[in-house]
Amino acid sequence: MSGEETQEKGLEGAQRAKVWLDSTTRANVRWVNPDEVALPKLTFPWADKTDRKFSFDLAGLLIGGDFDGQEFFVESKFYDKPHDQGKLYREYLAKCYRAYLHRPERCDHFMWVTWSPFLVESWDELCGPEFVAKSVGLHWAKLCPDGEVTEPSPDAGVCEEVASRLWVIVLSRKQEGLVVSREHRGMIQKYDIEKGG
Amino acid sequence: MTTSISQSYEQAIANALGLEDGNAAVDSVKQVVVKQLNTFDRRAEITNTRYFNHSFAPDLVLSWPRDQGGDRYVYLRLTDSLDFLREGIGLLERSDSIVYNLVPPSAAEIDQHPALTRAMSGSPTLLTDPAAVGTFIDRQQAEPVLGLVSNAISHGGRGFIDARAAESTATALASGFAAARRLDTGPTAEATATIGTVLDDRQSRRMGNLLQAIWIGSGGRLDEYPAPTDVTADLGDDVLAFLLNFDEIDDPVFWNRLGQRANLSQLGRLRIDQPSANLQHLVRANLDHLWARAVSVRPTDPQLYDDDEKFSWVVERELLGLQGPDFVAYFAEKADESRRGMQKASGRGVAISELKRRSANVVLSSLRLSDGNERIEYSSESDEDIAQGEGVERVAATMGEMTRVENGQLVLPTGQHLALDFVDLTASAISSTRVSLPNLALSALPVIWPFDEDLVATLDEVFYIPAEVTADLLSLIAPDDEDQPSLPATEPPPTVRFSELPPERQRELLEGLKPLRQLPPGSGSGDQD
Repeated sequence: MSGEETQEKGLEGAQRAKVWLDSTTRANVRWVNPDEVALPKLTFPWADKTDRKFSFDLAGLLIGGDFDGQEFFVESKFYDKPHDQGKLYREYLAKCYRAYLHRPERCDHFMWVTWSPFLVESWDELCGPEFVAKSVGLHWAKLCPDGEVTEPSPDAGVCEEVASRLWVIVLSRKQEGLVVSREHRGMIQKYDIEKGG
Repeated sequence: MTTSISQSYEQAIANALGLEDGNAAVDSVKQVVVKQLNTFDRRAEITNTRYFNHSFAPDLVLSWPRDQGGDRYVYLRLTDSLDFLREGIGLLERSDSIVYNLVPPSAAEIDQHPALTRAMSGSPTLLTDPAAVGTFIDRQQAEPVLGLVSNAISHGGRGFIDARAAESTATALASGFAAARRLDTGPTAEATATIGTVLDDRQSRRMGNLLQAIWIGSGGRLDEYPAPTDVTADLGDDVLAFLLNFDEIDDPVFWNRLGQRANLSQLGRLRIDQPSANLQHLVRANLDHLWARAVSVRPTDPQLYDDDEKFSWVVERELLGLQGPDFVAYFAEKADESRRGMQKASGRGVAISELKRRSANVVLSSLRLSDGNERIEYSSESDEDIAQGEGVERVAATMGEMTRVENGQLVLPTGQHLALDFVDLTASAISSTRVSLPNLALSALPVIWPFDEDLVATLDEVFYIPAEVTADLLSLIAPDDEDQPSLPATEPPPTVRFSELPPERQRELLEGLKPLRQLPPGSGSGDQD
């Protein structure tokens, strides 16, 4: 894909992921990249001294049950093939590691929402602490706080915490429509509003 | 440089959105929006939901419990993409919602994006923003009638109203209402067209009826009204209730013009917040034509009141009532309706000496007395008063000290007759004759209920026709009569006490004015049902 196509796909993917998450009735995506007022809520600084920053695609709150009120960040990939998701996913894990270190109170969940499976040979490892640690090691230079790059030494405890917060969600276009009906969603929301929600 | 109210809200929203903490930003921005919408439409109650910028669930819910007006969802949006904004509107739970765009695009961006404008044209959804709402707020500071427009827009505004559209809408409607009062067809027609564009059918009808009522009330002819007319509902119940519930409008002529077709049946149907200052204005300004056929009094607990406000108009039991210090008098157009929903009063009647005190200023042509066993009817052959004479006193004395007057007949200055029931505390017109509200109240109430002298004087003041209305009415009776000496322009119009007018003048006002002022040519003016 060209850069422009990638950007366009990125925007569309973020919107589709928002609509799908909102349609579950268990999520409220509040901030969407690249809306200007949303960007500061989605953006984190890398640890190095270069002023480099990264941002997630979406952020919001989960609703109801054990997750009620917990915050999540989303990276979306509206891809029809794996493309370079393996590389991007590893970088994403390093971002999650950094975000958790920077603002742990905001990082209850990290969601990778994609329309194409990737790294299928390692599928059962994608949300494990070892995979997080390896991925963090690949981007260690951006995580070294004093500007001097050291040997990668991810904090095992932090990798455990990040891993426990990871979700990988694979959607398909048809599945986007397989959600609670408009009629029933309206009833749920009406109930929520009437009880003061 | 001064900052308008709209600019201060826009700045407050921008500041709130700029807060680093997302949750604090959401709470803060919703507080500002709630405050702005409350200023925009003071009638609306606003429920804040847990949602923010959700694809389907509303951020806020507007409702109008006092207006029986249902509710309306408000969705806050902050996308920079007009495509996503447009597509998102198609996903809304209810299409008649308000989409409140916190980061509105510039005029140039809108102009470059005709798809959005096209999509919103004819849509039941209202797409608007803080600048547009602020424009209405700013404008209604100077032109209160735009408060009605704001309420109509929050109820049923539709299409795309940005700051530019808000400015042109406010201008068109403010001009239209002013034009309707001076019967200027051009701006009135433009206002009706604007109403049809920016409001849904229900609100369009409400505002259209209001505009039409002002036109008619200002002396305009229905067949010259520059828009399709609704001859059946010049001022519908909901429009009138809406006006009565609105901020106080202390303008007797306004209420007189609007109330030309108001009647007691309609007032009784209205659901209004009470006490209602505007109800006092409406009734007082329309005493020249409000009529009834019966009044029933029921005692209440003593009321706390200021010296100046011993009486107030209320709507209860689907009747217009006059709340007094320790009673309510209910007026009705049908003789049997003034007791609607009430138990029969259990009075024993009134002693002849007390009746003589109460009836010194009226003519009672017939009385029925009872001692508990026998009844005697004592009547005049020629509608002369018999209550103040000695004859009835002698009859009562003969019957014994337990004797009470149970019924009577009162002759009004207009020659009409009222049947009085001192047991059931009711006065009702005999035959189908209509009785003017002031005549009925001032003649009957102090007779069927014990008023002291001060209270009679205070009651009289309740039925003063405001000087401005009197001047307006007099100008309509003889607008071009050069023989009539006119008052100097600087002299205030006279205050006229209705009961002080000679009977023929009362009749002239009551019977002659209404058809002269309000009905289109060719309409009948019958005063009997």
